Amino acid sequence: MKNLRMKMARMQLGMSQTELAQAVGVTRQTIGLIESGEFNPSIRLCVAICRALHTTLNDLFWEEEHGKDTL
Amino acid sequence: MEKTRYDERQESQLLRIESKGGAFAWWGLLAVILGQWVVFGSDFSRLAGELAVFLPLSVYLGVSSLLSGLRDRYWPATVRGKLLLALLFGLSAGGLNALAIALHPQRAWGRPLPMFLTLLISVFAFAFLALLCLEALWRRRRKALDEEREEE
Repeated sequence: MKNLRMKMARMQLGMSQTELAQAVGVTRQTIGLIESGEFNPSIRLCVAICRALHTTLNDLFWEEEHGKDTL
Repeated sequence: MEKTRYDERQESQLLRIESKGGAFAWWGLLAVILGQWVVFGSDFSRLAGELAVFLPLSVYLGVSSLLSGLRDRYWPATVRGKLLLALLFGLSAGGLNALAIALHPQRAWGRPLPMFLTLLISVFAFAFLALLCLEALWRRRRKALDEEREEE
């Protein structure tokens, strides 16, 4: 599933994929694959991305299950 | 953790490549060894090079899996599962040996049917006992790992 929230957060800050990748210490391709939903990052990388984009894990990575209580 | 120039996606990609490479090497060596033995009638002294890589590789894979508590990914850890697996080993060893004898009757390997039955029974019995021992070790190791994790 594509992570459009991450892409939006990045674009709102005016960051390119390359800039975000440099900020969190990964390759641009990795950022692209996370945004396109083809790679599941570790919680450590998720936290680094959230810090770089000044947002939270909930905002970028949490997905509500429709019709079910979560947790 | 070792210093690496790769990020976690590249590392996981590299691990997948290495894993496939390892599987290819293991199955490839097995096929080459069996092919030389059965089809070309080579004895084991001619397979020393392949065996020098294949046996340590197999021991490494087996011991590492055991130490990590990994054993039952595909095959169930039941008595029936072990009996079936041992039977499969016995049938493979007996069948391939019988085929090798049939293809190379000049080699002094005995007659196909008695050798088939001998290998079937002996490999089956050995494999079943080995699997029982390995499972006992695996259970002990898994218990130790579980207790270790609970203490943390």
